[in-house]
Amino acid sequence: MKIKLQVIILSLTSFLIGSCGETTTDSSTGLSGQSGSLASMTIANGDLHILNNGYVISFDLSGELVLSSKVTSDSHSWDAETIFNYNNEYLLVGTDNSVNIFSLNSESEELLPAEFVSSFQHLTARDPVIALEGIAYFTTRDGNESTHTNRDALGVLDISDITTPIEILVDNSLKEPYGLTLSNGSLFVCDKAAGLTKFSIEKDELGNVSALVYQQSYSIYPCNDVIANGDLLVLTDPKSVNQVRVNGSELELVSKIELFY
Amino acid sequence: MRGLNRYTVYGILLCICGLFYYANVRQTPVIFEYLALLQWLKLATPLDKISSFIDAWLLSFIYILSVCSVSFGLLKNTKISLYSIVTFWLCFAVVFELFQLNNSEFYIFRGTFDGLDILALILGSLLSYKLLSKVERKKEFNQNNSIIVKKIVLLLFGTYGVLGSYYPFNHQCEFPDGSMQKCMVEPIYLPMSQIRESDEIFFDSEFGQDLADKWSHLGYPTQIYNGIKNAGKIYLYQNYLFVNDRFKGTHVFDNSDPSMPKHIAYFRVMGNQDIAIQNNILYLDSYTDIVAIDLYQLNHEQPDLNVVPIRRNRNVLEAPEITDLLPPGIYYSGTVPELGIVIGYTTSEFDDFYFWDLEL
Repeated sequence: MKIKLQVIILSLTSFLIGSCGETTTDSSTGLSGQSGSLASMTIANGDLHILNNGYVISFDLSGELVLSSKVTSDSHSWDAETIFNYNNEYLLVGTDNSVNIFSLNSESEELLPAEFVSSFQHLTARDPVIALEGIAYFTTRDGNESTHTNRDALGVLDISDITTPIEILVDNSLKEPYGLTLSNGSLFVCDKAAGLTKFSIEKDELGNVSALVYQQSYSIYPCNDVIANGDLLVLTDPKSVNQVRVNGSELELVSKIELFY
Repeated sequence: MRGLNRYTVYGILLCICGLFYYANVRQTPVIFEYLALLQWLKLATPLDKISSFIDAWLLSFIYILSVCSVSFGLLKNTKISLYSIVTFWLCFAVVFELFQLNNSEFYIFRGTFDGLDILALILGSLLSYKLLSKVERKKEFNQNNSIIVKKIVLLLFGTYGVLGSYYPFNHQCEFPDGSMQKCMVEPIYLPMSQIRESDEIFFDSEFGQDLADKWSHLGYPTQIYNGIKNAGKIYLYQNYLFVNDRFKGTHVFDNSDPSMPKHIAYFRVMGNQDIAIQNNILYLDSYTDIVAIDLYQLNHEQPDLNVVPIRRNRNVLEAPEITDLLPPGIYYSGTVPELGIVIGYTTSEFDDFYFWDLEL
């Protein structure tokens, strides 16, 4: 009975979240926007959180233009590069060799420092991390797009128990994966070698993620980072910022901002 | 050959393992680079870097095992006890490790001090003692003059080994333009006052004319879109798309029609790399500061001259750590944070290199 109820709640919430589009950051207090997976500054639970030399620094934004109070996380993350707001409750910090999870103490009225909860260690490589509904997706890369090593990986973690992240799978098919986003049940990864690459997310009968299935690489869309915006994807590469519409397996170019250089 | 027994050979094999590690995993500019042996040990493709935790202590561990074993082998038939051999090398290596604590004054001892190294040395010497103490030694001692020669050879071997991970005295480093110059460089500072003074909002007079007209009356500058040099982070907020130009500032595009995004403004904020927005306030990082910009005011029908839509929150962050921006082996003679942000360096031959392309 208990399990059934959980499944119903899960599917209900996924329906609700799915229907309003997959947002990367959406603050509970006040309106915020969406950042790419490579961001090292984010708004969560109404506060501004920024990675500063390995610490998560949080600012109270009630003073609008004036940053009133500031707190620093209890724990330091070596070579921290990206920060992701997970449900306004947790911050996922992507570092050189791990995904570190911090709790925001979101029930408290006052601004409290981000508190270290758990960590998932992986191979030495750089990475961003994103998460949705108990599942975290991360990429790691070795900094060389022509070689293929085990440090070039796309990983999926079960974070439904936030204190003990469990590895579900690691895919080594890409040479230099970087930014990533979820859009309508698919995972889009920017691979510096193959271009934007689409994976479908397979689930078992209990609704747990069981596999990532490679769909297609779009080499005409090279990218560093990607944001999902409804049925559009916003892609950046050194030459342009492209917006493309996802139409089944087709990607339609909607517009291109030339960067000129 | 007398003296070159199996323990010496074990020690030398260990030493070769250490060199193999240096040649294929570490790849730091070391004195060992001059060894022909190291060149032979190099594989065609370098190996993957292993965990930094193991990397920190492995070589010290191999070092102490190797020197103890070689010394024991060479001095086997002498009065010198195993205890004194192990203690000598332990103290020797620890002293050299401690020299690294003061790395700016002793150029030759440049390296990084690591507590794990000391721990590895202690564990390594304990292990050497444990393993070698089981070996039976001859009761008759060999009293000839070769002992002093052996001691000198061992000392040279040990010294060369311990210095291996340091930079040699006249070592030259490769700079981004391909030149070889002294590794020690002077930092180039940009004072925070100059960074703060350069804050500016530019409205686009071509595609964002309405906004530009409104604000140019109040004395705000206008500019046409002339590209983004190093596109960085992107951010979506309502109908706007923000694109960062690394270390220069952030551009805003009106994206209400995604098939025709229009450039409407540029926020020049030096050092900016990240973007976040809440309740119409845009937050941009800038080295030690965070700049807040009121998007509601900027979009207002009738801009109020008395409302300043931009505010710099000073000294709310630590200055970014800068050593990892230097090419391998290159280091500063010293840095003074009060002088500003280090944006580059000057070599001993007065060539300037900048980390970021800043329009000064």
